[in-house]
Amino acid sequence: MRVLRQSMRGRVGAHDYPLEPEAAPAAFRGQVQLDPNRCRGDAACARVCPSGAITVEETSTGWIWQLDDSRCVFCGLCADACANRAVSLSNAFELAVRQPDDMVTRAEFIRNEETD
Amino acid sequence: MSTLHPLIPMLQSRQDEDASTLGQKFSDQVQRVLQRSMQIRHLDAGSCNGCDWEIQSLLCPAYDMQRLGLDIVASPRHADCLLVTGSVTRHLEIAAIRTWEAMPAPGIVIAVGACACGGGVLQGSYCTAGGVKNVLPVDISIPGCPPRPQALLHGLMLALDRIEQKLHHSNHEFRIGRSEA
Amino acid sequence: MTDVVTSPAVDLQQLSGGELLPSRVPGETRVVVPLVTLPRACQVIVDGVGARLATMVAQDERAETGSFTLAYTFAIPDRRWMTIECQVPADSPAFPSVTPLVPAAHWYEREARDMFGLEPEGHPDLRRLVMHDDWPAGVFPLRKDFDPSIPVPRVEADPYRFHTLHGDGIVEIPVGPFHAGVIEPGHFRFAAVGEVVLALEPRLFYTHRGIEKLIEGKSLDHGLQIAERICGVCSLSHAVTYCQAAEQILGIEAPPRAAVIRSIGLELERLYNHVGDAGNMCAGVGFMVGVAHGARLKDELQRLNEQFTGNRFLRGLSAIGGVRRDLDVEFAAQMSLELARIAREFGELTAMILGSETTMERMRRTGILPGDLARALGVVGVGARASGIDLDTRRDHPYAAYRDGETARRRDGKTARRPDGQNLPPSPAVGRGAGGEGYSAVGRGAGGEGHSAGGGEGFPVPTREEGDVAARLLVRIDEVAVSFALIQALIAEMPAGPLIAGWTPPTTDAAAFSATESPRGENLHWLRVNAQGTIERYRVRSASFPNWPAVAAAAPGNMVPDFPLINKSFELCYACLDR
Ligand code: SF4
Ligand code: SF4
Repeated sequence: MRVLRQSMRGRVGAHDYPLEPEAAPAAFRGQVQLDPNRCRGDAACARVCPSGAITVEETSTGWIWQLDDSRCVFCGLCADACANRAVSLSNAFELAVRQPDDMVTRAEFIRNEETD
Repeated sequence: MSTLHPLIPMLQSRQDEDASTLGQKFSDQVQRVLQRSMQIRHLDAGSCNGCDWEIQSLLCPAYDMQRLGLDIVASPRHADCLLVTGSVTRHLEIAAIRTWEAMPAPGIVIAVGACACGGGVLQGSYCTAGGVKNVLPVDISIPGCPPRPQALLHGLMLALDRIEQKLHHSNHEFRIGRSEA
Repeated sequence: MTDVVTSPAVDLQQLSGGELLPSRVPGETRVVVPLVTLPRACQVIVDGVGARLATMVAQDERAETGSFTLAYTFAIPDRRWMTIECQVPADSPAFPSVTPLVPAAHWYEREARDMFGLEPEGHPDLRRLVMHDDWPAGVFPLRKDFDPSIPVPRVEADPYRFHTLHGDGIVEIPVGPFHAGVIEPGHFRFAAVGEVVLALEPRLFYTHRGIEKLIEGKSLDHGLQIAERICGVCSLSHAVTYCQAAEQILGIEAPPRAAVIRSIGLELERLYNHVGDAGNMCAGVGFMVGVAHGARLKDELQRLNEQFTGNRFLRGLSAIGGVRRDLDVEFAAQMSLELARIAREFGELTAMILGSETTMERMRRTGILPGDLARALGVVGVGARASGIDLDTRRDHPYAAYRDGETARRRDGKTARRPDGQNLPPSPAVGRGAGGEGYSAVGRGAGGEGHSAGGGEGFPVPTREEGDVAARLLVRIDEVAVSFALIQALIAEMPAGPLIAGWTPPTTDAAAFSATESPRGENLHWLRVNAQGTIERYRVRSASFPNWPAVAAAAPGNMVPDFPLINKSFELCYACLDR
């Protein structure tokens, strides 16, 4: 009886995810995001990344920034390391994918000579 | 200033569908595809225990995966999909392959967590395979270290689609309801 | 119950007969002895002052000194550390085994044999421990000349020989490595007559990931990310232990606010583990309501963790020099309210468990670990405290905010609810588990059971004498109450100030170790950094390492179906052990 009472006191019930969308708390460290307008290709994020999830590759015209979610451990070191605040960790957590390639984000930048 | 190359796809959210839409149709879909609940077997192939706890959490009242028609079973022989955590250590590699072989077709493999998806922080260790994909054919990957239980649910829902796909596109005689018998 | 004395009386150096070496670790006496006298020196320390073998670190220093180094570190009951070092020549890599005199050295020496090829002469059991049988002979992963990038082939080898018992009616039951539930892999070999376990031999290290080798050559920051992922459920303890060891090397200290935040985090970690375990132990007896209740509370605590640190396992909180996340006033207040509610609900859960006579009956007198055996094996954590060994790293080697005796005193004054205002002597136990009704864990928390050593102002350390499953449950329940009270007290008196101390990568070769009390017991990390500022050697001795042999020792005499319960009551971690 006591148990029943307890279970009827509310709060015991399931959260409604996935039937209702549920946002992760603000502090949550989710998918890494790049603000392309801030990235200057200095690769600080790639250097600190403990799992090699971020790579920054110099090309003849600029650089390629690439993130592999499959390796990322969501530690946030990249965001801390980026002096330009181009990298941040979002709230996104529904990251499951069917194809491994879908876990890779790639951005190619062209260096703009006049302003650099 | 730098500009993005105009021809390269912009950074965008890569999520297939958001979970709430998936969730609405999920339970019906389980019924339609499997005609019973979707049975999951967990396989720890060298995780840190974080991912395993989150899988265990799915059973607790707060997530209660059983209400969605998902359940964890004790033997791979009963399982529709295998939740593999960890980057597959040397000492578990053979046992992991055997477990997978014991599964009935189509045998979906879900890699759970950074370790399982791509080796996580264990890049270059002498004792791990650097991810499940190097040992077993992976159907779904759920990144995270560890993925939140909600992220796991999202991944499991994608898995159902994959089962359906595999059932339609394979010549395997899939033994529906076998474990219920 | 050993009485802890604070005034060091014994000159450890004299006792061991070794030559003094410098040390960076507060309270450590470090000596070097000749190889032949090693076992004797260790035995003198153990028998003479009741020391506990805390870790053993082997190192390959052939490039610098032409030899291997072995260092046995002991925890001395008067809160000091003692390390006995010796050199093992490279051309004859063997040393006299300490195990016959100090049984706790058993696994350490087998591990050194697997990883470094150092032969412990006179060791009673020379089977492989860490590396399984298909690992080729003569390849030693932790030696400096081992290149991890070259794949090591599997070799044909004789299968592992379990110690078997033969006789009429004895059946051998192999279990694992994969188990039916959602738990980690390990193999157990039971010898049983009927339902009764005669002997149990675990075969572990399936999840060996080579972390100690992997971390070599990495920067300190990078190393932290790996250290944090040794174990999921003790993430923060591992991270803090690692950070503290690094801080000692760097000669810095976390600012007071960071220390308090670390302590709050560590207590949150203890809470979600203990609360979940209390529930899980119900699974061992099939008391499903308790399981569900415990799992729900655990999840709420983990949600709190997530709101606090961005990770449900408190990852990313600790950094070298301090912490990466602040605890603002608003959230602290919210957390305090949440915790008060969870504490109340946990009280209901414990009342439910303790009031269920069938549950308690299964737990009482099951899986007894005798105190002297626990002492001989060097058991730590809940397992030790439930067998009458009064030890807790938070009190014995204080760190973070536990260093502050003031905190403990104020906390005692503020929140401890002692029924009679006195420090109660530990009551005879069997009797009190039985009186289930009206028995609230919160009410009797901080002061009642925990008889504080160190003259009343120290840390309340709940202990029990019986060493059975019920005792381990009750110790956990008591510790949960202490943790709840401690967090509230810490939140109430958060010092202001910076969160992190600055540092630059070290430029000299230096080593240090540090210990914290994880939910499973003492975690000890030994860290050495070289002149390039990268990690030279890292040794992790998690709480599970000394405790696993205790599980095997507690099983005989019980029914086979009770083993999962016994195992859960120790709640050891495979990943921590296997690394
Ligand atoms: S969060 Fe950590 S693992 Fe992920 S990309 Fe950033 S640095 Fe790398
Ligand atoms: S992905 Fe992270 S949580 Fe999961 S096993 Fe690996 S280190 Fe642990």
